[in-house]
Amino acid sequence: MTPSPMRFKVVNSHLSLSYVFTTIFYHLFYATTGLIWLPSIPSFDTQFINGGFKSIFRGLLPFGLSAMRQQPLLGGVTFIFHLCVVMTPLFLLAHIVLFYESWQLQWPSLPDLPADIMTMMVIAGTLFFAFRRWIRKEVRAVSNFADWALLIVVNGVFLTGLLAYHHWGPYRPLLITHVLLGEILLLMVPFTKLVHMVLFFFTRGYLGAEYEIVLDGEGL
Amino acid sequence: MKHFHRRLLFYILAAILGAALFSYAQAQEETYRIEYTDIFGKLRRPAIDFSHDLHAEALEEAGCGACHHAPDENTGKLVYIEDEEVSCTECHGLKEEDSKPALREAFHGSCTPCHREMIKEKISFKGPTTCGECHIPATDTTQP
Repeated sequence: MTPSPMRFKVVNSHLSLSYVFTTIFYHLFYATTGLIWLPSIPSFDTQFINGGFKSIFRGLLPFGLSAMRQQPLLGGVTFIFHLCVVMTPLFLLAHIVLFYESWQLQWPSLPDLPADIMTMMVIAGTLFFAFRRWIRKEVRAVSNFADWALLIVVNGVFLTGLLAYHHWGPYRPLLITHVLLGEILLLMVPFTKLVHMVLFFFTRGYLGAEYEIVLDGEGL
Repeated sequence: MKHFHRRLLFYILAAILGAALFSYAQAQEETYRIEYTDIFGKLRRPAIDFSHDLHAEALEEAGCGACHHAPDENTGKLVYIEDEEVSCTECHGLKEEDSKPALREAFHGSCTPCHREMIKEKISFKGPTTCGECHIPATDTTQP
């Protein structure tokens, strides 16, 4: 068997939840007590931090990472999809009105037509990702039930929201489904790959920090 | 037998006429449109057909003060002054000012708490309890 051509070996377990939390705990422990407890974790120097923040920042830009440039279609769709999927629910008039009724807080809302188009882009995005998950065999191989479920739920939330807004179909059942699926979506966050909502910043920061040292920042 | 048929026909026609009259009366239930385009400008949601009679009847016990209010001249507190029901737009404008809620929030704040209470109290007739049950596009062809 021939050896791997890779220059260094990325240990997969480094990306696990326990690693991330152990790292956070370690640094909190070090910062508060000044005691070094887990000697296996990389040193907390400025180069390390800068590399992490650089990677988080580049990861939020369109085509900011080499992985996005290597697959421009996926990179582009991913950027637009994420922009829409985050902005639309947060700045939708109906959501803001309901938020005001509960918390007496308001912020500017998106006009209705852009919100409509962005919702349709999210729906198109989920279809694109589902199609990719289906035809690319390397992606299909690492897909499980939860991955499919989360695509279906995201699609369902935005589709029922769109249909209810336009009164296309039975309004009340559509709205109730929309609310229920939204709640299911939030409940799914810790148990599916939706956890990247939170952990994106940690994994990106960790990878960037590693690349800064191992590849001298060339890995982005 | 011939007479029986004639009588049956009469009953059927009477029933159809009665149903038509009944539905006509239902459709004629007095509603007026809340839109205030002078304040809101171009509406972002369909305007509302509001029946004052229906609400006055349902809120007989609570009194007119359930919705109609004005600041008392001396204390400044919101009270109901009989025969001095003025338009909401006398005080409430497009934007919130001096702790007076904006017109949109004033309307939502007058309608939704009651209808939510009705859900909690498990009253069979709750009226509209979601966005699109008040803002119905079909009833309003002039606005989006």
